Parts: sequence; C-alpha cells; structure tokens
Amino acid sequence: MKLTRPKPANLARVADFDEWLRHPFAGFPAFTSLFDVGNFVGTNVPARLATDVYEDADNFYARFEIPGVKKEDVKLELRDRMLTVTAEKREKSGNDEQSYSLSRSVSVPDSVAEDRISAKLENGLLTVTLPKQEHRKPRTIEVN
Amino acid sequence: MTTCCTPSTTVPSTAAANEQALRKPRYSTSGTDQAYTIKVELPGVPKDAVTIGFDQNVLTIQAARRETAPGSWKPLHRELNDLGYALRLRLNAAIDEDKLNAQFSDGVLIVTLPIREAAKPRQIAVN
Repeated sequence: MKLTRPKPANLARVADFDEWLRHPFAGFPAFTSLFDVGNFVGTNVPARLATDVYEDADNFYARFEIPGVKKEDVKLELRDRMLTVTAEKREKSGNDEQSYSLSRSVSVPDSVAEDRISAKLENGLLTVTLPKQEHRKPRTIEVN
Repeated sequence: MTTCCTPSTTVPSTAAANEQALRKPRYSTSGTDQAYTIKVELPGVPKDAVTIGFDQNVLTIQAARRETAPGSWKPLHRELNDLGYALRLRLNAAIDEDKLNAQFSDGVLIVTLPIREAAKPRQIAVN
C-alpha cells in the first residue's frame, strides 16, 4: 500500500479560498444590518458596498460599484489583513450638498503581497488588485 | 421634489431585438422652471456604450454593455450584477428636444431637459 501526500502548494491555495468564503462579510457588526434602511442617508453608519471577488494565477481582484464618486473621495485602508474601502458620495442639488459614505471590508488572504496592492477607478467601477506573493519556496530545517 | 416623468413599463424594442436581459438603473429626477435634470447611475458602463433616445415625450436611456470581468478571472464571491441597463421615462412636460444635453462622468449620466419656451410658467399682467 502506498500513501500519497497532498501537495503543499495546493493546500495553501485551498486555505486562501476558505478564508475568503469564511469572511465574505468580515468587518460588519451583524448580518442583519444589511437590511437596516437606516444605514443609508442621514446616519453616520456607512452603507454597505456590494463586492465581487475574483482571482487569476497572479492576483486576487475585488470590485466595487461606486458611481458618482471621485477618485479623491475613495479611501483604501489595510489593517490586520482587512482591506476596507470607504467611498464618500457627495450629491449636489442647487446650493445644498449632501454627502454619505459607503464602506466595505474584505479579509485579505495571507498570500497577498500587501505592499503591491493597487486600485483603479474607471466609470464608477473600482477594481482593487491584490497580487499574490511569489511562490513560497519550501524550507528545509536542519536538525542540530 | 418636482415630478417630471413617470417610468414606462414597456421594454425597449431594441433590447428585445438583442434578446439581452437589461435592468432598470438607479435614477433620480429634479427640476426647476427652466429645465429638468435626470441623474442615472450606470457603473461599469463605458461612455460610448450609452445611447439616449427621445421620441414622443418618452426618454430612453440604454447601456446594453457593462464592463465584465475578464474571462481569465475566476469568480470567488459575487454580489454585483453584470446586466446592462435600460430606462424609459415618459415626460409630463413639453421639452425642447433640440437643447437636450447629456453628460457622462464617473459612471453617472446627467441628462438636462430644457422646458420649451411655450410651456414655461408665465405671468399675465392684469389691465
């Protein structure tokens, strides 16, 4: 009988994927807050942004729809492997200006190279590119 | 808020011809004595994919193409909708079609519809 070991590389990938799935709503106090209408205009609690998460061989991608938001009103923050996107939406009607913020946090897998995260805003669609780190080399540990 | 238009339930004929599923975008309307303004949110739509039509007091806004993720991207978690947009509004006021103006930036389309001179409120002096 022969035992085959799963490839460590594959295991790492599965762990990443699981992490995304386990915390897709990470950063939110409670799931019920999604249905709280008070979340929108008039409160200090930012409304929740919808997101799409993708991956390819080199990167993870997170996409958010923020029509009418200027580049300078978008804030991206990475803290404790949690990426938070906050968009300040300003709406002008005559002399009045109303503003409210939209926000979303997603957990970032360990394998992301934090220092190379980039973002692009085009036609109201924000795409955050989270590059995967170069394949981690297997380490050999010597026994003394 | 001034009401200038009512949504029309009729599916745009061009959309039916394309056999493409479209959805109604988020929009808001406002108005003054001079003009109405319609703001439509079309995130992910390239500028050249937006078409605006005006016929017999019905304004049609269509963006059948919405930028979708490249085929090589594997979806892990989806919440956004990839469908294009279609909006039909029946206008209750006489509009000066020739001065219809549209601006598109940051995924928001702003259509300005000037009210026809004859339809503007007038003050009539009493002799």
